[in-house]
Amino acid sequence: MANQDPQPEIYEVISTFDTALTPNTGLAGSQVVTNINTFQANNEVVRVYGIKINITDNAAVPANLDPATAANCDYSVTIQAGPAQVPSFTFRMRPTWVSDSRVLIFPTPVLILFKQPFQVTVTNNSGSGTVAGGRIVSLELISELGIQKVAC
Amino acid sequence: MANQDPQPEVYSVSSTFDDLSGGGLGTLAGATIQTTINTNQANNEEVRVYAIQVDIQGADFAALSPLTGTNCDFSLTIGVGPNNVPSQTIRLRPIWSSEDNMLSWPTPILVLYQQPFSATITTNQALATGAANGRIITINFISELSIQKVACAPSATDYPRSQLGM
Repeated sequence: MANQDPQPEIYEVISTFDTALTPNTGLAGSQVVTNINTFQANNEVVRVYGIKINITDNAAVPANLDPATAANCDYSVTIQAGPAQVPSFTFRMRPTWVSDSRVLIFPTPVLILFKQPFQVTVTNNSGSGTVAGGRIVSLELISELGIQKVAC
Repeated sequence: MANQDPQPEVYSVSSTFDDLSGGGLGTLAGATIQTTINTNQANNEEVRVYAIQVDIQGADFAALSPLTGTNCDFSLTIGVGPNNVPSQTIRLRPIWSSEDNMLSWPTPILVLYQQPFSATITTNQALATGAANGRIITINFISELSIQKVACAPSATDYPRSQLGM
């Protein structure tokens, strides 16, 4: 339920890839699926404008990884919005992660309507180890919650 | 088929140059990998490609720095319908070496219904055998899928007309 119209929203998705986890998410091809609850009312719409990404290791005190030196940091993202994937295909996040801003801005926002499932799937393309070899992929979906405008 | 109009699309192409000659001979300079992109668009939809993102890493998933990485000179050709758009092959290293890893086109590339859409990546240097010497080139096409807009004739709203044409 929006407190203001429109209202900024940041939806955070944390996916941990580690061979010591059950199930084993350190294998190449393993996936972590996260459902996002937007708590929007039936007259409200969520627009996702961009994604920010960060990758750390899975040590007790996770260390930030440097794109210029860290191996095994190839991950893909799939966004499910309602009955379809938007964008239609899984896309790689590494080109965004190695950029200076680490933000991917969509040319047009992803729309999430009332009661539509909103789900993010992160896929491990490279495989990873455990602890310092494990990886934590943090995604921040930069969004807006607003009341739907009706043309009278 | 668009779920919303317009709809963001990111088409990822990942090309692995690892011993393409086979038999442990590595990869020759000039070797290419072509990837066809399926947009799954309907006959009244079009795709606009606004920009590309580039990443290069080792074929063993080791990180490469633009400052120190060697053997990272690759070119990209984009085929759209019967032509290449842009018309010429472009080098990827200047984009990869930039801070945003992105090249935004001055005007978007248009991909219409049933037009073949492909990305061809060429290695401009020979690569020795072994995954550590191989390279994975990842290109993200930052795009938009939307329903084509139709310009209607203004006279269509004037019917029925009188015999005097007014």
